[in-house]
Amino acid sequence: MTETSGSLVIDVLQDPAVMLGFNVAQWNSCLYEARVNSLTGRLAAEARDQGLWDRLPERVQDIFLSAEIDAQSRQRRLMWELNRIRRALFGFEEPIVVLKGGAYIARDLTAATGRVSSDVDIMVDRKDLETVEQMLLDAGWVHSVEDDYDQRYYREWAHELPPLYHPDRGMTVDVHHTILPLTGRLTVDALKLLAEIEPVDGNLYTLSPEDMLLHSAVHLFHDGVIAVSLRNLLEQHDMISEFARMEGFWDRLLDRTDELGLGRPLFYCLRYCALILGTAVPGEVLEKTGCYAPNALVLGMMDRMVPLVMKPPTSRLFQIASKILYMRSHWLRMPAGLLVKHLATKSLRRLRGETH
Amino acid sequence: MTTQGLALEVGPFVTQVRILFPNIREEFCHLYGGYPAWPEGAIANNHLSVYGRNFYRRYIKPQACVDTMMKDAFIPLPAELGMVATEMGLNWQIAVGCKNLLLFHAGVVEKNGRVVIMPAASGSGKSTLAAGLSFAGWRLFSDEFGLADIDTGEFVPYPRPVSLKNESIPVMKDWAAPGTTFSPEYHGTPKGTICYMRPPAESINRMYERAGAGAVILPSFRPGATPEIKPITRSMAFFKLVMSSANYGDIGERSFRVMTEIADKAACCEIIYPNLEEGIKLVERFMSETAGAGDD
Repeated sequence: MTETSGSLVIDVLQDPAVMLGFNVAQWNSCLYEARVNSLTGRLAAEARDQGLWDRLPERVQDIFLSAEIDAQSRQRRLMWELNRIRRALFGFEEPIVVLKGGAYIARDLTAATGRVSSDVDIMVDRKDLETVEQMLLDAGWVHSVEDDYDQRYYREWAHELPPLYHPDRGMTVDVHHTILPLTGRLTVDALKLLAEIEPVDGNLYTLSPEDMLLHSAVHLFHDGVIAVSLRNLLEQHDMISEFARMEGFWDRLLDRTDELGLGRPLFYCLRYCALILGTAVPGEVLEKTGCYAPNALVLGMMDRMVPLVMKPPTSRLFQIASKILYMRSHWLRMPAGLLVKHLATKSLRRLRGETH
Repeated sequence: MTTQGLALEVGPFVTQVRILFPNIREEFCHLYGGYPAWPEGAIANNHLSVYGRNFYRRYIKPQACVDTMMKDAFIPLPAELGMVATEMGLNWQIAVGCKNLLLFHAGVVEKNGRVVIMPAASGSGKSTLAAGLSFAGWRLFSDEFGLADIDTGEFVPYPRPVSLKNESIPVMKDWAAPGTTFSPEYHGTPKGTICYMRPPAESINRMYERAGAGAVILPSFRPGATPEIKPITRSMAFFKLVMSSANYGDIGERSFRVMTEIADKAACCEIIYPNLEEGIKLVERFMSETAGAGDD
């Protein structure tokens, strides 16, 4: 290897054959980084698909086999949980929209390759939220958040119900009614999302391809903490690469972004996918989304921090950048007054030793 | 072991172990001396760090935190129990993270190429019985983790130090060959007093030699009982194996095939024994009675 991105996992994702030249130290760095980012299963899938498996060190084959089986079993369990949810919601005829990992699996997208997802995320119309919650509670799910403050946090400010947990199967379902917190600086009209959903089977749906990508971008660049999220950037890369083969994808994406008012997250998504993972984004698309860029100062900071926190979490700079990005994510999530109140409540609780 | 850590190899796993407390490090090296280690590094299946929660907690009422990189939520233990925390972390990594081998919560020993699997809940005496057998001509595969290849069904040795609890500590100190390495006794752990024992050198030296299943024996330690071998059906053996497995469902079809093969081939019984010596006799007796009858 002559040139490296500073992340062996990114190097492997771009050219899986580089694995064949790894020495022990490189394997350990690569596997450590993959573990931190929950990407071991993905690397295993790359090795399998590219026919490299048999030429890997035996111990790596063991580690990959373990990760491969783990990913398969988790995906199987996730789909089974979805099956159980549909059974619990028997009689509820409105669309159930499966989001994130479950959607990638249901649609058999590249983004599901070797992916380990543990929660099921579904979305229903807000007016049906209580019905769905009650039906799940009746069927044996329980609230995993008992605390009054946390319950209120979800119900008043978040974009989902407090997580529901199934004690027998150990799985959690998040029931969303939109894709962004109600308190945030960006909000999305859920009805617009629901207007474009695409059927999978019966009343099970996924978002449209454009909305799936936008959801992931919003989740990572607006609502998320960004650090240690290489997996999410990769799923965007996968979706872009896969959807771009569909006629008219880019035009639909740009129109939709405008309609939903999600220009900034899309701008970041395309910029950093291209910059970090070498995603093929047409020049004119990058140009057109240029109008969604933040000011030069913010962009300069994001350009420094985002690539840094996608790399192995070993440097001091990584710690600083993730802290800044963590604060940014809270800043974007709620208005200042609420943020201060929220952080004060959480810190007080920590001081009292109520949580670890 | 302070900065990069040490690559320790036990059976099919290499763990990069990093311990930031000198006392725990010393106890660890004492117990694991005799196992292959790779100071210059080896590809690691797992990483384990034992560290103080913060600067203050490293020196005042020190607490050892364990990070297994596997969504653990271990409550930190006082540093003097750090070795217990370390062993719990190593167990957790296998119990939760190993999916490439079929995993049984069982004591496993081997003699003459026939593996005996003793699946049982904690407290049934399987650790003690497996450890006892390892000083009576048997090779210890593991006192706790039976591992089987998911293609061939062969058992894979994983001779970690044996974890002895409460009353079994003096029993084993009495039974073990002279010169056997024991850790200090750790009092007041969540499971009472714990002491670790390094398996016989033979078991460690031959830890890459696999062997096929010969018998499934369900051990039942009952003080004061008359020693007894009770027949059990193959289906019962199958279900006991399934129930003892942590990753049977995760592996799916391949584990079903392997499990069926084991339950088909292995002789099976339940033994009831009042003490270690009688337990060993029963295993020996059952194995010689069924010798050559492996595929009835």
